[in-house]
This record gives sequence, structure tokens and C-alpha cells, in this order.
Amino acid sequence: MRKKFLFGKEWFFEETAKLGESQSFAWGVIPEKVIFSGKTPYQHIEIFDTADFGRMLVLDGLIQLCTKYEYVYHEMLVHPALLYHPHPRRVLIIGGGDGGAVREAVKHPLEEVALVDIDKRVIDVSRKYLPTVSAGAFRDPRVKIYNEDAVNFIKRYPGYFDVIINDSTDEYGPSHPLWSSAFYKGISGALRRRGIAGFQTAYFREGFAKKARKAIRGLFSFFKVHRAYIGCFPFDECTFSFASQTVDLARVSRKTLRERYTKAGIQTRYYSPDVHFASGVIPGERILNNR
Amino acid sequence: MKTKKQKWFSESTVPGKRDGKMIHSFLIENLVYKGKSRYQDMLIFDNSVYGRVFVLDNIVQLSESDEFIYHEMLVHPALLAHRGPKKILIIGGGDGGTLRECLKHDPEEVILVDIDKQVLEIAQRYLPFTSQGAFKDKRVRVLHEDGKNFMKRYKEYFDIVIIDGGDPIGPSLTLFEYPFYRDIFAALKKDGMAAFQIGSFLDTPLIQGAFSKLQKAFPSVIMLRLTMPSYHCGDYCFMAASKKIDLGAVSLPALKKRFQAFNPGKALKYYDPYMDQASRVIPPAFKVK
Repeated sequence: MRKKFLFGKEWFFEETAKLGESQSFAWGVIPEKVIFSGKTPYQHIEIFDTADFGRMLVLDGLIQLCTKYEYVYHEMLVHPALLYHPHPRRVLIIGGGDGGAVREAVKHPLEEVALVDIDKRVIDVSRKYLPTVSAGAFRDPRVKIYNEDAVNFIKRYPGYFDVIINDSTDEYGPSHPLWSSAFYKGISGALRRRGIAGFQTAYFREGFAKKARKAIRGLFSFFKVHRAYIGCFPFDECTFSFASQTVDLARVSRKTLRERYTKAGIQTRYYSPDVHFASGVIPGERILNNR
Repeated sequence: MKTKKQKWFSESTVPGKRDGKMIHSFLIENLVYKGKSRYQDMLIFDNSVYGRVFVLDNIVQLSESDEFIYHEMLVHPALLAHRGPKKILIIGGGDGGTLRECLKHDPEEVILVDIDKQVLEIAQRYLPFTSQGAFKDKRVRVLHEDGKNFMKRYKEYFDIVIIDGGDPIGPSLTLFEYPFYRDIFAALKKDGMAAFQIGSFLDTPLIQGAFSKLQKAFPSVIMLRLTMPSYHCGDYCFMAASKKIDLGAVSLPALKKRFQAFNPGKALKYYDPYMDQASRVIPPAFKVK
């Protein structure tokens, strides 16, 4: 939503009401330069430059990423899942049309990365206007792109993937079916033995996110929340949820993580095995009130 | 979203400068207090998400919903690393939250130096959840003077010094400078240590500057990371500095033992030994070279 506000400038405010968020606080930025604005059959895409966050991608009025801090989000969504797994080969990314999650995944010695994003336009526009996000990952020969509904896609791959990463938008618009117990069951069914699932699960306090974490926790034998503060999501730490039917996530030691990280030979800016440990420590008050 | 009738408070400071190009806005659902002290503008209001919010010179100082994160993380990592602090000095901290947490460690003497008497009065009146009666404790002495000058008068006296001042703008600027850090070093006993509120990790020059100045003054310095949802750019950094005890060598088993012996009365809401260890982990991109 655009609004004239302080200093006589035009400000951008997020449309958080659609997520059931309280309208008693807001966060705004000044779009310095509009790079792209267009409607797809699924959603409205906006890209603009800001002074303090670099370039921003906005879908249906909600900020998806900013180029200055997206590495925090993508590293924390992808590497914990891939390093919880002893030897991942086949990875599925759901959503993530901006390419950031794929970029992080292909750093690992994988055989196959499938990306399923229903909206081809998001991929095209991101490749064109946000080239630093995918950083050439879409051209990696191991990567296959599918523009279809992820709910149907996963049904065709029973017991196939080592790691499935759900990088969908929040629970509104085209992503709505991706926030259901039926879909989480489908993800569990598409995982191979020792498979790991990773989910972006929004802020601690958001109602739809609490519901999702509860449902995932209920469906999988093992579950762990990690947290990270991301510059362009300023109201709290974001949560990333990881789940497995066979791997006891809490028992994967720091030593094991260090060994796997070294063996994978990856370079990261935010993630490290120590950050992995620290991000998995959840304050007591959060556990009580925000599960 | 915003109608004419609603009143909003907007903080638009960005790292290092005022009137930035991003804002964090709170709906003022109930205006509690608005006034001016000799030193600063004061504003207190209620918001349905953050609870009661306290603002000085247009910068959020604390909110009812997360002040415990700030105060627990400023006090307990240093005080538990010290094991047995008797004499404590707090510079700033007029809202009383830091004082409240310090008293849980059963010290002999706590001196609080805040230049602005009116902040203490207003905070005790409208933010009673912060001090929770701590100013009435007999071990506490309150002085209203310049913290910088006060520090110069003490040599090897305090076990702990806590700097709970404002952002490095205007009068608080000197609390972020090397001469002040050197005076703190001198005011501390041989095994003394100090804790500092610094600022947002998004403000890289501030973090790097403070860290290198502290390292010049103290042999052992660590960064602590915490999230303050009510703060603008709330990826937050505190630092602790020590004269003798190696802060980096405090192990989890040792900390757990001390934490068990430490009896804070009611349970803490945020701090525990695991959070202590987790808060010391700084992501590679945020580390100071």
C-alpha cells in the first residue's frame, strides 16, 4: 500500500491485515525507484529499490526479500535441513521462485534439485531484476524447474527426496493449500528414508504460523524450530521449522554438523555450525507463549 | 490503514542517522504521558501489541512486551561470569529495569547514576513493571549527575559497571568513546567487568567502532546478540568487557552450575545458560575484523 506520510514522501506499507495481523503497528520504507510492477494469473509482483535494504521483492503487498539481507533467510532455510541429513542427493524446493534457496542448495554436492513454483513469472522477473539472488543457480545442470501446483507434484514422487524445503509465501493467495496438514502429509510421503523437511514458518507470534508449527510437529516424529532475525522482517525473529520421521534432529551434534559442513565444502555468510546451534536455542518465554 | 483520527508514533532513525528512509510505527491507543524534562522529550503510550511503550527523544527505550529481554541480557551474562559481584554501578538505566535484575544477585551496594531525575520519577509512576520497587531497596543509592564525571572519581572500587545509556546521539555520544572506557577500566576492581548496551547489528560502523575501542581498553571483550522486537532494527548487540576473567572461556557446564546456585526469586523469562551461550554466537558476516 502506498501512502503519503512523513517528510512529504510516498511510503510503502505492507498489507499485513490479510495475515490477520494487528493493525496497531506498521513498518514502512520509501521506494526510491520502481523497477517492476505487474500482475500474473496468481499474484501481483512489485520490485523497487530502497536506500537501506537494497532491492525489494513484494508479492501481493507483502515483502518477500531484500537483496541486502536475503542471504540470512536463504542460508537459514536451506543449510540446517541439508546438514541435518547425513548425505543428501535429491532436493525439492517448493516455491522459492526468486532462486535464493536454489542458490544455497546447489552449493552442496547434490545430484538433483527440483524447484516447483506455480508462478513462472516470478522466476522470470527475479532472474531479470534480482540476478544476485539466484546468482546463476537456475543454469546449474542439476536444477529442474516445474511450474505447477506443488500439491499434485509431490504425489508423483513417493519416497523420492532426501530433503524437501518449503519456501512458500505466507498463508494467503496461491500459497494457501501449502499451509495445510494434507500437504505436510504429502511432504512426509515424498521423503526418502532419513528424509528431512524444512519450512519457512514466519514470525513466532503469527496465528497461521503457530498453527502450522503445531501441525508439522504433530505429523513428524522429530521437530525443531530455528530462529533468525532478518533485516527486512523487522517485527521479530523469523522461525524456520525442520522435521523428520527418522532423524532425531536434537541429537545431531555440533561436532557432526561441523564435519558435514567441512565435507560439503560450502561457503556461507550467516550460517555456520555454531549459528546452527545458537539459532536452535529458543527462549523459555517463547516456548511457553508462542509455540 | 491510517485514519485521520488515529495518532501514531513513528521512529524513523536508521543506523547512524536521523530521519531515515524506513519507519517503525506504533498506534497510540492510549496516551499515558507526554512531557519534557530538562534533558529530553518523554512520551509514554499503550499499544495493544507492545503493551506500554516508553520513548525518549523520539527513540523507543522499552516496551512492556520485551523489556525483560533487554534487562536480563544486559545484566546476567556479566554478573554470572563474575561470580560474586558485591559493588555495582549502573550508568543511565533510570527506568529501573537493570537495577531490578542486578538486585537478584544479592549485591552489597548498587549506585545508579542517571542525569535525568524526571525520567526516574515518570518511570516509577507510569512504568512500575520495570523497576518493580527496586528504587526503594536500602542497598541502592541514586545520583543525578553526569556519569562520565562520576566515573573519574572512583579507582578499583566496583565489581561490575553497567552502561545502560541511550543511543550514540547527542549527550550519550561520549559514553561510546575510548576515554570513557578507560575510566571504567580504572574504576573496576582487578577482577571486575563491565556490560554495555551498544546498538543494532545492522549499524555495522557503530558495532565495529565500539568493539575495537573496548578491545583497546580491556583484555577480554565479547559481543552478545539478542532480538528486541520493539526496537527499530532490533537485531541487537550488547558487549561485555573484563579486566582479568576471560569472558570467552566461560563454559556451559560451569555456567549451569552457577545458574543453579543463583536464586533469582521468580524465574527469569529469557535468560538461561543456553541462551547465554547462544547469544555469544555471532554469524560470520557480523563479526568484526
